Amino acid sequence: MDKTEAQARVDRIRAFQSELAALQDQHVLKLPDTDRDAVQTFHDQLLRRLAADYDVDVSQGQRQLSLGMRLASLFGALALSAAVFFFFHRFWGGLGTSLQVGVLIAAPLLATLAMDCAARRERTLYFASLIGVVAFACFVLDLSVLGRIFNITPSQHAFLAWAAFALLLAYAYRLRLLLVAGLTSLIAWLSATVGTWSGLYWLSFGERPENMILAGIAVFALGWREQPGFPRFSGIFRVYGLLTAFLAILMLANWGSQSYLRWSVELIEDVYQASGFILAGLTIWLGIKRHWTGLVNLGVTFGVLFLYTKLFDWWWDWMPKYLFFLLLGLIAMLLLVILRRLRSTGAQS
Amino acid sequence: MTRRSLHLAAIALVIGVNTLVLAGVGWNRLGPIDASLVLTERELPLRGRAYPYGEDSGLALSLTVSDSSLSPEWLDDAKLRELGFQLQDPPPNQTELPRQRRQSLPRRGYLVLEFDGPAWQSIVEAQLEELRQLREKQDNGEASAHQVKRAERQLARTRVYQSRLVAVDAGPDPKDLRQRHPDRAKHLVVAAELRLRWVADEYRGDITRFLAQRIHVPRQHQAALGPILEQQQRGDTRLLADPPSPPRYQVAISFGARHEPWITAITAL
Repeated sequence: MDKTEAQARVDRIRAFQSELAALQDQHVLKLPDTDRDAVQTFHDQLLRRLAADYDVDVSQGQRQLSLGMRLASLFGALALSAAVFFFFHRFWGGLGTSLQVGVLIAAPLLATLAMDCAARRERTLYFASLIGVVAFACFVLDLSVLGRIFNITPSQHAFLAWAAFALLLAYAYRLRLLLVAGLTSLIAWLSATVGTWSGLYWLSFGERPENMILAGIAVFALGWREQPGFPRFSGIFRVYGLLTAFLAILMLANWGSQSYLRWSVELIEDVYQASGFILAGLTIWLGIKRHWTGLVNLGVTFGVLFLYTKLFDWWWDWMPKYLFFLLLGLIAMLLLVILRRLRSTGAQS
Repeated sequence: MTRRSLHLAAIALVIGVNTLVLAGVGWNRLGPIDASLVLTERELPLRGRAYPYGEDSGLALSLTVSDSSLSPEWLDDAKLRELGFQLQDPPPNQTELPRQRRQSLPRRGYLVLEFDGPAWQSIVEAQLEELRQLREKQDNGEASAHQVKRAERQLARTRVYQSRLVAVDAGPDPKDLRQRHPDRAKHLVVAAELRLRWVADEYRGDITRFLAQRIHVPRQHQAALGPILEQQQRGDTRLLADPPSPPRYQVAISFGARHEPWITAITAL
C-alpha cells in the first residue's frame, strides 16, 4: 500500500461512517451496539495506523491544510530557485574561474543530498519536493553558466540532461512537481530535435509549432500505460503531452503562417481549426472510455477555446457586442445540455 | 529500481554531464589553436551593464562585425545552396506571402571573418568614393552641406569606431573554410546562424547571429576594464562623440578546435 491507496481507504472509512450515521438518524438501519462498537474500534485503530505509517489526512481540516502546504511548497520552490539564480548572478563575476566551476557543480550535488536528508526526516515530502526543485534549478544554472564561462556553442542536449535529472529524482521520491519539470525539459528537447530534422537551427524551434505537436504526442504515448507504484504519474504524462499538442494546434489555427505546410495561410488555419475540434472530441471520448478524468476536462476546455476563437474570428468585427456575448452565452448553455446528456448516459451505463 | 539507486543515478548524471562539458572545453582549448589575434573595443565592445549598474556581476564582450557585412553580396545562390538552403526557381512572389514567409528557417553554418584586411579596406574606399561624389555634387549645387557633413561623420566613425571584422566567406564545413583561408592571425572561422529571404525576385542571405557571440571576461582580465565601467556609470558618451573616440582597450583572443573563443589578455590603450 502507498500513500494514495492509504488516503483512499481513509476516505472510504469517512464516507462509510457518515452514511451509517445518516441511515441510523433516518431509522433505516440500526446496528447492535456490540457490532457498532467493534466497527468503530477497528476503524479508529486503522485510522491511527494509517496516519502514523503514511501521514494521510484523517479529517477535513487536515485535508485543507495539506492543500495549503502543497501550495506553499510550490511557491517556496519557485521563490528559492529564483533566489539561487539571482544570488549566483549577483556575485559570480567576483569569483575566479575554478571557484565558479566548483560552486556550479557542487550546488546541484549538495541540493540533491539535502533532498535525500529531508526525505528521510519527513514522510510527507513537502520539504523534499521543495529542495528537489531547487536542485533542478541549480543543475539548470550549472550547465547554462558553464556555457557562458567557456563560451560554449549552445546545444539542445542540455534539455535532455535536465529532463533526465528531474525524472530520476521524480521517480526516486514519487514527486509530481519534479515530474512536470522533467517533462517540460523533455518536450523542449524533443521539439528542438524534431526541428533539426528539417535543417532548422535548434534555437529557433519555436518558429514552427508543429515541432511541439510531435513532442506532445510522444509524451502522451509514454503515459498510455499505468505505472504501478507511481500514483497519477501516467495521468500527468497524458495531460501534459496533449496540453502541449493542443497549444501548438491552437497557435497554428490562428497564425497559419508559422506552419511547415506550404499551402495558403487560410487553408492551413482551417485545417488546424478542424484538427483542433476533432482532437478535442477524441480526447473527451478517450477520457470517458478509459476513465481518465484529466483528459475529459482538457478536451472540453480546448473544444470551447477552439470554438470561441473561431466565433471571435467570424463575428466580432461585424456583430453588435451585446449580440456576440448573448450568442456566446447561448452556446455555453447548449454545451451544458450536451455535457449533462453525456453525464446521464455515463451514470446509466 | 530502488529510491537509493535512482538517487545515486541523479548524482552520477550531474557528475557525468559536467565531466563531459569540461572535457569538451579542454579539447577546445588544449588542442590545436584555430586562430589567435588581437582585437580592440571596436570588434569586442562591452556587453550590457555589469554590477553594480546591473543585476549580473559577470562581464562579457560582444563579437561584432562591420554592419556592411551582415547581408553580404558574396552570399549568393550557389553559396546558399552549399549551406543547405533549398532555393526555388524562380523565387516565390513575395507580395503574395505574409511577412513570416518572406524568409526561410535559419540554418547553422560557419563564417570566415577577416580582420582589417582587403574587405575592410574596400568598405572604407567605398565610403571615400561616396564622399568624393557628394563633394562634387555639392560644388554643382546638387547636394547640401548637411549631406556632406553626414558622410564625413560616417567615414570618421567607420575609420575610428566601427568593427574591422568583415564576413568574407561561408560554408557548412569549418575545415574547408580554414583550407581556403589559412591565415590564422587574420581570419576567424566561427559558427553562425544564417537565414535566407527573398527580396524583389532574388535571394538574399543574412547573418543573424554568431553562436558564441557573447565572450565571457574572466576575473583576472577585468582590471583593464575598470575605468571604462566607471565611465559607464557616468553615462557612456563614446557613441555620440564627434569626432568619434578611439578604442580604449585591446583584447588578445584565441579560437580553439571547436571554434569557441576565449580571452587570453586585455590591455588598456
